[in-house]
Amino acid sequence: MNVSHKMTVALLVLALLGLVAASAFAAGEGTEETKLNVNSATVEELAKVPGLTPALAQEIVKYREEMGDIKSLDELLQVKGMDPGLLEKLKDYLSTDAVSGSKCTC
Amino acid sequence: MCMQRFGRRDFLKFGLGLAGGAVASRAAPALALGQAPPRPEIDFDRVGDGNCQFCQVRCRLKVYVNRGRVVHVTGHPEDFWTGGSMCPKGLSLVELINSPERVLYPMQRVDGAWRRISYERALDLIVERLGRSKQDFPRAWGNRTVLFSPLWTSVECELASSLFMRAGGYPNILTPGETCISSASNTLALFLGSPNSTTTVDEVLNAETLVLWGANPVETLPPYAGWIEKARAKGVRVILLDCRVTNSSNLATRQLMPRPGSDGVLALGVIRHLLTTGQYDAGYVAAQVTGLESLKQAANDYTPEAVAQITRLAPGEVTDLADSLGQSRRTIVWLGGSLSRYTNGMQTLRSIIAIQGITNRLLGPGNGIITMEGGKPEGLKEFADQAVPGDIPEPQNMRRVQRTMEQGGVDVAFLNSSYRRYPDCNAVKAALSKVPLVVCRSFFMNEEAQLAQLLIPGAYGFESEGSQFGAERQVFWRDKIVEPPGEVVEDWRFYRDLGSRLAPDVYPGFESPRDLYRRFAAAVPSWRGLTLERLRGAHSGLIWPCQAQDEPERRGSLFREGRLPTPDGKLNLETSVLGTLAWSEPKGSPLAKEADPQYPLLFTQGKVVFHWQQSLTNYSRQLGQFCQGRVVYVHPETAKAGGIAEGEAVFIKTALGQLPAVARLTTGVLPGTLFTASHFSPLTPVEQNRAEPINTITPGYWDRASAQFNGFGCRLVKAG
Repeated sequence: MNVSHKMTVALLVLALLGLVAASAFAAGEGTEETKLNVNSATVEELAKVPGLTPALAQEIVKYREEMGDIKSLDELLQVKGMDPGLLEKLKDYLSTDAVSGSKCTC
Repeated sequence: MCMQRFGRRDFLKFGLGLAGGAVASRAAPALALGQAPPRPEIDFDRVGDGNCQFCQVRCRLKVYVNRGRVVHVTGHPEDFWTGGSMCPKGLSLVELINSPERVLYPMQRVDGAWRRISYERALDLIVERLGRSKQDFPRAWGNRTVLFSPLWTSVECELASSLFMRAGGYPNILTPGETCISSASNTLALFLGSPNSTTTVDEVLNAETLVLWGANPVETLPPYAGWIEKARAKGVRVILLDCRVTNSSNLATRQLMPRPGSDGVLALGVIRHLLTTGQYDAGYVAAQVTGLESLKQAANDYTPEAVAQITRLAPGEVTDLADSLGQSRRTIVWLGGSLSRYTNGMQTLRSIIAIQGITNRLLGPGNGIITMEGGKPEGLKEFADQAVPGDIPEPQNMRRVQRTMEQGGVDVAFLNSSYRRYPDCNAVKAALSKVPLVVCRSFFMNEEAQLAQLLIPGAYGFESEGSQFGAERQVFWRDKIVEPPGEVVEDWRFYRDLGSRLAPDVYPGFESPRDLYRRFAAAVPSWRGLTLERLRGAHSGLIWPCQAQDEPERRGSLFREGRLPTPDGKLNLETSVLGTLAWSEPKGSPLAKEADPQYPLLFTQGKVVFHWQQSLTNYSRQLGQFCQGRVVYVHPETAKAGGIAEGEAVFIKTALGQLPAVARLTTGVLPGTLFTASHFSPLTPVEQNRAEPINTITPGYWDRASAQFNGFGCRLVKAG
């Protein structure tokens, strides 16, 4: 297999992966119930969201673990690698079901 | 074996210590747990009804006073919840309130030295700085003032401070919950609709099985040992699940010792066994529980053998536990605070709730879940929102506040409690040192005072009237017993005076705690039946909620309508808030795949019976009798592998640093783990209680709701 052939195969694989990811989230677009909770999703789950790379998914989880639950999606702008344009697209797929913050007897 | 134990000899020692103290003119007899208090042989001219301000039991006390000084305390014989017993921490209040080291006047640090300042001047300085902060940041001043809250000595202290923060537009009140068991209260709220225990402790007498899951009530809540003793006497089977042998072990019918951080796996193993053997209430589950299929899926891999491999229990122990729970007709699970102190705590607690759910043991007499540090009576925020209306920013958690402090974004911090309660507390200290004005509320010149520019000395509970609540949500009233000494100021007065100066048009003027309480109880429906007059006649308190004066008190199950107070009345085991039910190693665990091999031992820390948290009891010389500086408990096999002998000086090392300790060898901890007490203070004058804070070496790991203090990697090395 020559180099261009390999690249074609790689691109086809990437395109297929993109289609799978997009179809996985097609139902979630626009409905709160089926959106992915950014506070409980795994890196793998986040990485399937259209527009999110595994590296960016990892950064989101890292941020969440450092700072605690994300209360508003706009807070994702604090995540390394996030930009406003991508964030607007992500809002179709993500939700922020946070822990309520109930306190102990203190 | 060498664990922290106490017995009659220790109490005699404590009694002798009290007799040798400055206040008792004749020796008071030593008290053992659960004993009714004898008539004290001391000189006194009056007796008041007070309460202990340490743990959540909040024991009612008889407080003996002579010439305006507290000279003795005993448990209150009419306190239903304690039976008149109390513990050494409560007894130490006599010494602490009369301590010669107590700060009695407001102090200001000038050029590195403390000098006395009037209370009025101190208030002026604070209000001036708050005003400047708002002037400098007119659109974003709210997050620039923060308040670290303590265990308040009364509801009115908490209300007065909340009203002050709302009146100023400051949303960030950092409660102890984030370092305590907010994981439990949040998980309970999420699945059961209430953050509280689902029943009262007296219901253990109606259970067939009581599971102390990671709980050590005999040591952490000693007066409640009586309830377990009574339960045992009635034939209740008491199963203790704890990675250590503790004083609670003595009351257990059986103890299993899963290794630290693995309780969630044990719970999933129990679920799998219950489901595969049909030992669950299929009818109840079909009608009242959702998410069974996902529960089956989550538990599917946790065969007894798989669970045994992770927990280090025997497979038979796992199935025996499951069979016991499957066959028990009435079961109460007592959740220990330790379960919340791992980053996998919320999923562990979710699994334990699921066990009670599928066996239909959440509702009815002798069933339920107890958590001594769970939720508290609600309504305080409701009142603050009503009394000081208006929008304020969304509150931030400690991690965000800490980052803001690090970046110089906080101008004023009210430090009412120990910063050493947080993991990686040196980082918190560094962040606080960037705040221009730290106002410390303390009894002593402690570590928090070192960070402050102003110190306003606080009052003990005996020195102020007010309402208070305990772990059963029982609310009681306490009259003032003695006057505060010097220019000591009660919390309610301090925050009222600040609020009135800062925002006189907004802050609700009130004269006294009773005035504030009356307004509060009248305004919040769930407190309306708890009138001041009614409380004053109830030594054991009255259980919240209570909507009307003629409403009878109802102990037992919180779920009075026979259903969960969730939106649909069901236990919904699936939730997008927590995502998929799955177990993982705690952060920093030496058993995780990415573990650092330098730190192969599992670290655990906790309270001991003679001490409370990192601050107050460290100043008691009487309690110092039972302490020998930092000790680390380690299994003989683990010690031998490291070449460490009994009594040898060692360092406990973690990824953050090291602390000196003396090694004690005991089979009461598991091989590969160690345990050390968490209470020490480096500045106390009591040498035996003096040590560097444990959280200087506790890495800053957090879960969704609270901090982690156990389960990360460490090692022991010889000090030489």
